[in-house]
Parts: sequence; C-alpha cells; structure tokens
Amino acid sequence: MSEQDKRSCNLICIMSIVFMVVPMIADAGVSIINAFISANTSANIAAPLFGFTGMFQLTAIILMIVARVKFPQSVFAKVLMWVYIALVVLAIIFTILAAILLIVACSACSETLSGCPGMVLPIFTALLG
Amino acid sequence: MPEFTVSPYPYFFMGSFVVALAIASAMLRRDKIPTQIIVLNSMLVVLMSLFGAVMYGLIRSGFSKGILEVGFSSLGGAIGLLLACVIMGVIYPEGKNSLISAFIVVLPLMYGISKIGCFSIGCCRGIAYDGPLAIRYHNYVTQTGSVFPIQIVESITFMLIFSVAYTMYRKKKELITPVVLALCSIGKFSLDFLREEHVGKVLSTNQVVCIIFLIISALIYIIYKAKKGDIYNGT
Repeated sequence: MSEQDKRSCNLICIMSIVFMVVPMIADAGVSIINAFISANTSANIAAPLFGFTGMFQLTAIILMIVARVKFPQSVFAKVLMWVYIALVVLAIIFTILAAILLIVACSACSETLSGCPGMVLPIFTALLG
Repeated sequence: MPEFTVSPYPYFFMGSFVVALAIASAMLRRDKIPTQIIVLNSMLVVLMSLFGAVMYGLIRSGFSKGILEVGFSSLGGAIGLLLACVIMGVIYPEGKNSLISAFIVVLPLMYGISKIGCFSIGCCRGIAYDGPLAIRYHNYVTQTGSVFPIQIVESITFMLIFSVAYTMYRKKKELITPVVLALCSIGKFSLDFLREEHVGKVLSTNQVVCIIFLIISALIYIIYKAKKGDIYNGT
C-alpha cells in the first residue's frame, strides 16, 4: 500500500469514527438537556434525533466499508470493521434483552397484556416519556 | 384465532431476515462474491432496512408520532434494503448485478414471512368483512369485528412472486430486477385496497410509493433495452 493510499484510507477511517461518535455525543447531550426540561419536549425531539443519529451512523458504516473494500490491506480499516461488527452485535443483544424484560414485566402486571405486543409499545413509550 | 402467551411477531420478523440473508448469501456465494463483501453487505442491509422501516413511519406521520408508536413499515424496510444494495454496488462495482439481484429475489420472501407475523397479532389488518375465511381478533388491542385476512393473501401472493423470481434467477434470465420490482409494486398496490388503513382514501402513501417503484422498474427496463440496442448496433 502506497503512502498516498495509506493517507486516503486513514482519512476515510477517521471520518467514519467522527460520523459514528458525533451523534452519540449529540444524543447524550440532548438526553441531559431533556432531563431539565419537560417530558413532552423530549418526545418531540426523539423522532428527528433518531433520523439524524441513524443517518450519521449509517454513513460511518458505509465509509468503513469503502475503506475496507478499497484498501483491503489497511489494519486501521480492519480494526474499525471488527469494532463496528461488535457494536452491531451488542446493540442487537441489548435490544432483544430489553424486549424480553419488557414482555416479562408487562406479563407480570396483567394477564391480558401477555400476548399483546401492541400494548407493549404504548407502555414502553410511557416509560421513556 | 389462538391466544399466544408470547407474541409470535418477533420470531417471524427476525425469521424473515435470517431466511432472506441465508438464501441471498448462498446465491452470492454461487456468483463467486467474496465472503467479506457478503458479510459487509448483509450488515448494511440489516441496518438500513431497520432504519428505513422506522423512518418511513416517522416521515409518513410528519414526525408527530414517537419511534415506538409508528412501528416497522415493510415498504420502508424494502426501500432501505434496496438502497443498501445499490450503495454496496457502487462500492464494489464488480458484483453490482449479483448483489442487487440476490436481494431483489429474496425481498418478496421477506415480506411474505413478516406478513404471517402481522397476521398472528392483527396489525396491518384487512377491511371489515363477513364472508368466508373472515378473521375475528379477540385480543386487547384489535377488537375490530370480522376482517378480511389480507395479511395471509399478501403472504401467499409474495411467496408466489418469490418463486417466480427464484426460477428466473436459476434460469439466469435477464432483467430480474425490473420484473420482480414491478411484480412486487403491482401486488402491493392492488392488495392495499383491501387494508383497513386504506378506507376513506383514494390512494394511500404506500400506493404512491408503489407507483414510484413501478416507474423506476420501467426506467431500468428502458435503459437496459436501450443499452443492449446500442451494443447490437455497435455504437
């Protein structure tokens, strides 16, 4: 890999990290701000924030794939790929765990809710709100 | 309808991804696409479909509803999936056709499987109907009287589209992408008239998106034919 390629690859990887980390910081910042203002405001911000966070983080993953495909010998790109794969796997595991906990909690409260995912969502929203 | 102790919806939802990724990966392996590209493409497909599935609902509601209220939209998921394949095709142009056609083929299968999940809990349900095979949901949320079993009709229709698409793929037919995209758009557009959320509307948002997809498939077909004509003419 030439020096020029190495520089290009590093730049793409750094941009990828920035796109991955910035929305995390923004998300945390908004959560802290929301803790001090009304719950209704947080509900209004949540949806656009999800769009912003998602688009930035998908861009980060696309940039990592570009680096990995165009510069297969780069160690930086390889490490980044494994970090992102680990993050995705962790996110999936935590989502499934949260869903299971929620269903168990709802089932414990009421028999009628146990087979009813439609009811789980409003309860989850209320808990988050 | 039986009462489930635990909702079967997530199993069908996740199952649709697992089955689709397994079949698409096998097809890509057959086309000699490197394993790393298949893994990266699968990751992008899963993330972009989930993101598209939620974003479609949020945009449709004008961001007035919460993330958990809008749920997952299959049409949004399909848009995300197709975008992921197109992006991957740009990054890895050598496998562009294989990547796009593999996921176009499994797209109706994913939809067909996830609709069984919808049927089991009563979301995306049909219009009020009292005829043969009418369904009456009796759980807490969906006490709506007898409804048309549209989810099962959609599931069967899209499974049939999948079998057509897979046969085309096995026979190495050209133009799989526009043909399957057009079949899915026509199927979804027609069956949307029988859905409860269509009542009182001339055209639903889903149907408008289906028309856009139909135009895109027609454009792909025209461009392909034009290019082929150029090749034959030696220009």
